[in-house]
Amino acid sequence: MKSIGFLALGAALSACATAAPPADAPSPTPARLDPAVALATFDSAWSSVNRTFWDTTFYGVNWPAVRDSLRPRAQQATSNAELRRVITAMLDELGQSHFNVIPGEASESLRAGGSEREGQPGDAGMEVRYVDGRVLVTRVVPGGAADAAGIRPGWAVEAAGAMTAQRVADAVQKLSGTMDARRVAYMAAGGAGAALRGTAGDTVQVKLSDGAGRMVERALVLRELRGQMARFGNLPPMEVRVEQDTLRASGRTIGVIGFNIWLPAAIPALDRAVDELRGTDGIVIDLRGNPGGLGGMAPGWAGHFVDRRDTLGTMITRRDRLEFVINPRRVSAAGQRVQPFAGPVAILTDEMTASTSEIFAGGLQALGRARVFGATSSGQALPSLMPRLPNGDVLLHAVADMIGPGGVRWEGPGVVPDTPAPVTREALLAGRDPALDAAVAWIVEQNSRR
Amino acid sequence: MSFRTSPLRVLALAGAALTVAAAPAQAQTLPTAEQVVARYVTAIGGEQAISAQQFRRVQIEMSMPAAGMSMTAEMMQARPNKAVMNIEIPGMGSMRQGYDGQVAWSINPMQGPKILEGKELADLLRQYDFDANMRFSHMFRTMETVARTEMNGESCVNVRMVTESGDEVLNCFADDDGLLVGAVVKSSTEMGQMESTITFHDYREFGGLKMPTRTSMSVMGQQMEMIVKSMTTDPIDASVFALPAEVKALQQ
Repeated sequence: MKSIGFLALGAALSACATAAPPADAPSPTPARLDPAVALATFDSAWSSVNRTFWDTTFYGVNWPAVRDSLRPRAQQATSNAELRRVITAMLDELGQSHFNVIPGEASESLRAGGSEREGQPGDAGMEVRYVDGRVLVTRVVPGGAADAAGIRPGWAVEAAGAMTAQRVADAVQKLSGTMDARRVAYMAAGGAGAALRGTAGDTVQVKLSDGAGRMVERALVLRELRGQMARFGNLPPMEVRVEQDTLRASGRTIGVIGFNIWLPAAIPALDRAVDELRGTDGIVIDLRGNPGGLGGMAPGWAGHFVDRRDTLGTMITRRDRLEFVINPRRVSAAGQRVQPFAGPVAILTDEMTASTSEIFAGGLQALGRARVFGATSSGQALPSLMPRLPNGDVLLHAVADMIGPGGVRWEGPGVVPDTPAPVTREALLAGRDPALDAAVAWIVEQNSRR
Repeated sequence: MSFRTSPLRVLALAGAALTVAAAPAQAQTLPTAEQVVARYVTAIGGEQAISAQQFRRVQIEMSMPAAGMSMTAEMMQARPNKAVMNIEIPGMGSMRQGYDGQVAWSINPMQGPKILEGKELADLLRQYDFDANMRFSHMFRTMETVARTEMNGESCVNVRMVTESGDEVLNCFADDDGLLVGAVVKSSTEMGQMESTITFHDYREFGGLKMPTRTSMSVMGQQMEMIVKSMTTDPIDASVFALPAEVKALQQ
């Protein structure tokens, strides 16, 4: 009887993330897989989905038949990589996001707080997106390796390590027949971005085309990640980074909050950012590139911007309908009584904005509390769980559908911006950020009307 | 991780069908709900033993294998219904909840502080009632025995209990010793109504009362295990139950 108080934990801790590495990541220990383990792993993955998939018709997929057709291949798998391909093929039959296998090695290979420098994760200090058939640098982190090498936004990446523009183009061509352009861009940018990450101290050879079309070659020594490495449950260690800034435009002060993932380690900085920007004329929340994370964080943080009890959306499991309830945040991080931020809120999205970020952006948009700028989001917005499988891998599997206010569904279509402001090479080369610029202009306009 | 959703639904449906078919016979053989809960109160130590306790401090280890998480929790209670619960979650911080006799509250890192109202408040007060284990008729609007069944490998009598707000608990009391074997609970949370299946194991005596030292709960396809590490009945300072500063700020 006393256990009821723990009930909401399970729901609150379900993840809404798309941050899983590709299922065919190479294993560093290619020992022959025990067939019994392979079968147990396959069966466990199949059963997990069988017991929790929210639609009991599996949207018309004959789930037992899928098992029967693929189980023999699982039994014959000689490596974890091979087994992952079989399980991924099984999960792909569902045609939904948030069904993936995270290699066990991926979750163990990076250790948060490790003492050895050579083990620290690092990156090249730049972000990339797939735009109009090219991998473009969309952001250069001040003080990072790319910045030090003189690389600038708008430059096109021709090669980074083993990744070449041609390989990306080939992959895009193959993917284009099976998924929409937005998902292809998501995959292409994700793959290219992975080539710019590794272990701090490693060198990545890059070749870029600058604004004048000249080829520029650089050897980038990856620098330690700027954010904090955090672990949460079965998720692999991940960088958590919260950035805030203040802009001035037309006499108005505008706060900007950007963060890379919804993990609890970000909460103190996110709450502090709202407290510090409470007096501004508007707040821009930059969710571009944010793949999601812990679903329960979205309604919690939304409470800083909503002055009435409301809901960001409804999670529909096989048995229950659970609301992502927004409780207005009326106490600051310092314990002082405050009111939720009442000024204009703009949210920036792009094709790499996924999952919890889509629930947050789409939910506030549907409630009329925020205006969305940028590009349509990823369209991968399902709450999921991540149990460990018998072979040590982690199964990411959605356990609920997600419906936003007014019945809007983001899985598939994504969050469609109120003001489309896609990134272009010309804008990047000119030092402009179309989505941010449009958001700032809107906040200025809103204030002039008040 | 245990996924019992589908099998449970099948079992529940099968159980319901059996209940209908066997109702006339069972009406003769099943004890009344009052008899079942009276036997339960005796089994855990009796009203006198329950009444003798003024305070409880329970320390619990919790795990959610599906999420790869282990947590610690501490629950402190004082008569008649003051309580504070603190769950420490690695990587997140502490989730707290309490009642000082007047205000029920919760604080968690994701949602911030909140004062509980409505059904959430009613649910919490029912949990925090110090005599929750013997005042079933006070806490539930109706109680009725519905079937003899098997849960957790034990033959038990299902007693359906319905709260004032309409939430339903199906408690199953063991035939052999009268102890609570498990429950299917539909309860109100901030997010909505959730159904959970709970089984109780390994009863031990603490301060003259028997309580389960291992509890398994299945909710939303996730399995949660709770192990009682200690339970004491020593006095707890009243300041423990005072409202946290963040909750006081909410009242301003």
